[in-house]
Amino acid sequence: MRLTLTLRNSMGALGEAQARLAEWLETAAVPSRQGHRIELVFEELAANIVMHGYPDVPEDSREFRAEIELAPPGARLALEDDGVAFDPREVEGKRLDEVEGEPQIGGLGLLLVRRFASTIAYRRTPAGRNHLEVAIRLEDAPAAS
Amino acid sequence: MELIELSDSVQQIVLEGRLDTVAVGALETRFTAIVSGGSKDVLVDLTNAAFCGSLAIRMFLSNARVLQRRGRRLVLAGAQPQVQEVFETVALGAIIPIFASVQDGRAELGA
Repeated sequence: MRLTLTLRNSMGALGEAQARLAEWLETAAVPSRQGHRIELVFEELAANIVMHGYPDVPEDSREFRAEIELAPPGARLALEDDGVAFDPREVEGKRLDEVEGEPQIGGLGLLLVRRFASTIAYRRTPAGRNHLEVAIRLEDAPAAS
Repeated sequence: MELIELSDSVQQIVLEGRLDTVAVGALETRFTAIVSGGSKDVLVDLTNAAFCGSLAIRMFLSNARVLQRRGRRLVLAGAQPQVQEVFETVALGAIIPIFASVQDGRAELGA
């Protein structure tokens, strides 16, 4: 099963996309703890694009795309945007018991992405687009909650 | 978001639903005003919070630090298993006390 979402660079569009994803996961009968991981990885990465990907353009003026696919025993999330070049693998996400003072902006979210991902692939396309693909681990998320 | 005054020194803030980027953007100002507007310990009831992302964690951290400077505490209680998994993944418990139930949190704060 696959869900394709077209988002815009605004919080309103992000909220609509999250609602559609939640509805789709429910329709697909994905267990709640596994669904939470998929929603979390999507949330952290899509919110990053909305908040930091388009710093100099008006809200709601640009589009980017997300694709979520159930691929048992995991799931796959692909994101493609034409915002600022950003490779999330370069951000060192540290646990709170490993940092002194405030955690790095975005660090906690990317730590969560990393912990729930088995692989993260990133490339900047020749056309100037970020292409990110994350394989989400679900097998160690208990089916019942 | 609901505010319950438990005693002269403890207040409980009930957060429900999804604590994602959009929701935190809408509630953070009020949450911070409640926490920083009083000089009380704060128990955050997460019993009915189905989702928690990193922005909500940052909101808890910054408010916990404000209270800490005043000799007060912010504690979290009642997190559902999927939310608890997020807390454990980032080691939030190293900074903010986390209790399995609201009852346990109240007992810790003497409320």
